[in-house]
Amino acid sequence: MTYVLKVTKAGENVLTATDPNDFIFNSELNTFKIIAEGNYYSQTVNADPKVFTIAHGRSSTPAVYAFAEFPDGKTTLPNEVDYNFAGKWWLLSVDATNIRLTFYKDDGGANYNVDIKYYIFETPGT
Amino acid sequence: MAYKIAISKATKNVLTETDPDNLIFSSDYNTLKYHASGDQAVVIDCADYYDSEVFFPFGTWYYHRKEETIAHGLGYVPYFTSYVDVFAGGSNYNMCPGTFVDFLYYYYAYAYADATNIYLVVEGRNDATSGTVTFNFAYKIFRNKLNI
Repeated sequence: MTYVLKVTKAGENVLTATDPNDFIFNSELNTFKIIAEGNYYSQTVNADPKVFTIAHGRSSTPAVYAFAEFPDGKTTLPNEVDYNFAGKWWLLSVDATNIRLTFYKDDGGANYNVDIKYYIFETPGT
Repeated sequence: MAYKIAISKATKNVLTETDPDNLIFSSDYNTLKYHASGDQAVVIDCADYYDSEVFFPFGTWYYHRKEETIAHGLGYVPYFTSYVDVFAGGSNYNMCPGTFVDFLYYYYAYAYADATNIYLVVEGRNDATSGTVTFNFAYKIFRNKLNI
């Protein structure tokens, strides 16, 4: 006999629900696990580009995501420019060994600091 | 003694399994927790431009910026993401940032966050001073704190 563990959202019948969106948890569906996460604060972008490398320690290329806060106080998604459109922008990339966050500054622009948050996710089948 | 909850995939032994790929759930690993999701249109009114520039012989081009704010009420910067419908064609959404560049036209669609709001921003240049251009965003906000 196979046992399952399911928790539905309020108003849904856990015994009959089949839509994954109706569940808080369903042991028949894999969860999106965060394998590791971390922060780096006040990292100085003193080159153009400036690359920050983080070894992810996984045996293959994982799914990753990251955020960066620019000096204007707004947190950006990967590959975005700063909120003030002041010529700062960054890219997120990953290979089998490292996560790379590549920051750019406006041509000849001054150095600046960024705060970084990164996530490494479980990546089945790789 | 540390207790934990784990559920393994079929045929895997939950008592000995350590590979997260073989677990449906493990309390050893954090997960994303939904806070809110929704849709928000950002509409550029082409009559409202903040700058213009002449590109001879192609006439005058106009710079536009429009943003909409979503209050998330969390008091910290959350994990967030957003999609926008304009760039992928049809009814498709692509993940922000979205970029369209063609000749002198460009549009960028970005999402930002701080401890108070999500900001959905469109920046663009076109040759119009009338009409509107609509960008439909779909945003997702999670409870996960970025500590940023």
